[in-house]
Amino acid sequence: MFIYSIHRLLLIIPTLIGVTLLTFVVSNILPMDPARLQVGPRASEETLQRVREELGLNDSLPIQYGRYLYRLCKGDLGTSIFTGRDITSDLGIYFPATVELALFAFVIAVLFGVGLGTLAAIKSGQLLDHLSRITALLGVAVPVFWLGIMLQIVFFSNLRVLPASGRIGQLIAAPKHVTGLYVLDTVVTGNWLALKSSLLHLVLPSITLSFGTLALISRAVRASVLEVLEMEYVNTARAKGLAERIVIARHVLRNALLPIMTMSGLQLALLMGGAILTETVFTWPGVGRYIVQGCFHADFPAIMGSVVVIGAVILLINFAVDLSYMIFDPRIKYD
Amino acid sequence: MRLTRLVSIMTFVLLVSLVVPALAGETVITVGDPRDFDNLDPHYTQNAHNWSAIYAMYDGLVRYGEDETKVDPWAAKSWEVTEDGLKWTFHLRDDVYYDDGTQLDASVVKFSFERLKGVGRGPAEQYKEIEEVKVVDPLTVEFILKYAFAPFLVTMASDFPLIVPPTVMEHEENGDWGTKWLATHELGSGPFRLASWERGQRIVLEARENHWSGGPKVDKVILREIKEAATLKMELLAGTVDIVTSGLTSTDLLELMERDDVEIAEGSSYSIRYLVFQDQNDPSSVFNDARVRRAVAYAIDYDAMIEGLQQGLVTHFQGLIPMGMFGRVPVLDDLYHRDVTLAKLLLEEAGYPDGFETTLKCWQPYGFPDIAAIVQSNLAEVGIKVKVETYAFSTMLTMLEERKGGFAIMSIVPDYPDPDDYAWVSGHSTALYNISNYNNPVFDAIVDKARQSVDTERRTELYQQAQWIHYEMCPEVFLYQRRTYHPYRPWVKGYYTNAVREQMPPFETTWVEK
Repeated sequence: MFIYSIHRLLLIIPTLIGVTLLTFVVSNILPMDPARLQVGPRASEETLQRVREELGLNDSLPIQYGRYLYRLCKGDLGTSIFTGRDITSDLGIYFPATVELALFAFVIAVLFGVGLGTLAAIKSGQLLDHLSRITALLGVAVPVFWLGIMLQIVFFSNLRVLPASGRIGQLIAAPKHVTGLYVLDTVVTGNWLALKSSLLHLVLPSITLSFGTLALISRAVRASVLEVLEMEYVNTARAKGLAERIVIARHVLRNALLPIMTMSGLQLALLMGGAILTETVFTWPGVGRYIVQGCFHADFPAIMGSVVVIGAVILLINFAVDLSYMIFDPRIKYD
Repeated sequence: MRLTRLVSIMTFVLLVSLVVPALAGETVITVGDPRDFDNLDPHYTQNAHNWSAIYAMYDGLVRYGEDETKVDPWAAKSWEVTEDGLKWTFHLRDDVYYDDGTQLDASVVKFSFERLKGVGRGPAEQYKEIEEVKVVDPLTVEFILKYAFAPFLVTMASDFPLIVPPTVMEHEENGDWGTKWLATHELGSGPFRLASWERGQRIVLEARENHWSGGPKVDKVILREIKEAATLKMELLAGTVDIVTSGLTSTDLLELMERDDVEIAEGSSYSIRYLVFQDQNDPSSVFNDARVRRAVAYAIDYDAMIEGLQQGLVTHFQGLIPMGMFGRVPVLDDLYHRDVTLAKLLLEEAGYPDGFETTLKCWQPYGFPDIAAIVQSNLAEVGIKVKVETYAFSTMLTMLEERKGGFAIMSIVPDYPDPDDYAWVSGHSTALYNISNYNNPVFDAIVDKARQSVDTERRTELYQQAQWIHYEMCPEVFLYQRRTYHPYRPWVKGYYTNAVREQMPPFETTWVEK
């Protein structure tokens, strides 16, 4: 187990190098000149060349890439070409926003997805099953931006019970930066007014973001639970006189959830990758928006920094999912 | 049981928070705009949206105000220029201070211009005419120019030369003049100071109550980034946003104009949309012939563009120098209009009786593909078959700046409000921003003279001559001039917008009456 974990962790390094190489190559084959975009259209050739030199863009691509890797090893993601800001510090702000939103959306998707899927399986062919199928269909078919705007119209414009955009109320100061997750930071610093505000601001974007994942999970859970319900050990449990609630919770769900875990892990990884549309509709300052902004201004270091961080997190999530199999299914052993 | 207890605690916490008073008694203006703030250093950034915060936080020698045809005294209470236009002397106020007690005096101004040049990014490119900045006495500073430059004074009122004090050097890293630090901090003496910046969300400005002007009329200005047009509109109508400075669709604006509970600050804009022919100097290009370029100008259905696509929110415009500036030839506005017969005749004369095929390039954002679709349809009627290619913004911009754009749609926003920024900067053969590659020695000589004259009447005559030449040669086809619309709620008072303050809303004169 220990050796397996070390082996898997070490494999993350070449994968990440591959990610950086791919991003670097793609960024550099695009017909964009970051130096020109930085100095503006009225800059002289002399200024342009000086800035190119300062940014190291006159060096050959292998040298530029080598220099990037060297800095990366020191934990330095570089400086944004367009904004002149430190990328590590930028991502320290944008990435936690994405993590917070993704985690809330994930919890909603899992809780409601598993619940809905299980109920649909138990009530297979009945009204609840059909409703669950329609929900799943909507979850996949409804565009995120449409759902987001509809929720804003209902809960912000009409009912005035939830905020429409941002991470915190406009008259409330953001909590002191500890982790960058507002909910956690407000609890740590005891800032209850900000906690309430940040929780309220999370409701609509996390529901919007969770809807697609919820739909997928609910369908997968339904199929898996239906399969397990046919198993002999479920009949045995029932024959022993166990209450149906206990049969479902202890014997059905526990066995049915294993195949769901891989899918859920991947979904969490996707959510962490930045939910650009949700972030745009709700003006959520996440990493997806940061990348879009980077693409808009040909800000290669900002794009590469973001991709490396997201890549690392996705690899770690996959690793965690693999390890968690052992907890849920003791038969699985990694040697 | 444990879960129940946790839920109870959380509920209690939320209830307690409900009775904690919000920030009370402060007057706050909240502004919504979809654009991102990315850098707050006036000497580094060229992103016009950053200026809305920067202009409020820093003082300059002079400043743009409500009258877009002149500049107002600011940190400089008066100024004079020698007859040859080579020496400008500014007399500074004696009551302009930074938060640390440093006085904004002539030596600070001199340092600030050294820094602007030292940082050496886009903003510095505009002040190449400055030979030397001299401290005459603590409250008098002289600018010696290499050559007479008529728009010098108006360029001094823009965002770029705002005055940064020498204390910025305490944050210098690797000879960067403190740019990395100042990108996210503030060291100004202006009407507002930076209270906080939650990146990707908002900038909060708080009044610098001891500002020499008496300080702003509100305690705080919150500049919120709201990405989606529908959300912006909802927030404005809900009253959680007081002013919207951009990002609404034409349909939204028209709808808001009909409402009694929303006011619209409307003003001119010097921003223009036009078609460029970057290969017009290439003898193998069809656009090498002025008759073909003129045929394109006569083929465009300006009404469809203005009344249809832009729903009447923009203005018909021809003639190189935008409406609102001196030196225009108003009659030019009527000369290029839709005339399919004339367009076909010109094409026939040029040797293209059956038209030709070409490619029109544009970037994806700002509705440019819609403009391209109308141009494509209009040109098809005179036999020019257009293939439209759309690109990512930065790709297209690089292509245009490297003069590889060919036939393309372009937009110009001035760096300073003077005809020189259009006639010389966009039309002189040596100008870096001559995106159209226009090359005409006669035109060059006229606009050279005009930028060096300090006599406005003489300049007017020269620009009028230049515009007639421009009309004949048709190196660009102007589609329309934009206007500025900033919807705001009625409790906001003293707010206005115009061509020079479009990107820099006048927060220092705005207040709230609720």
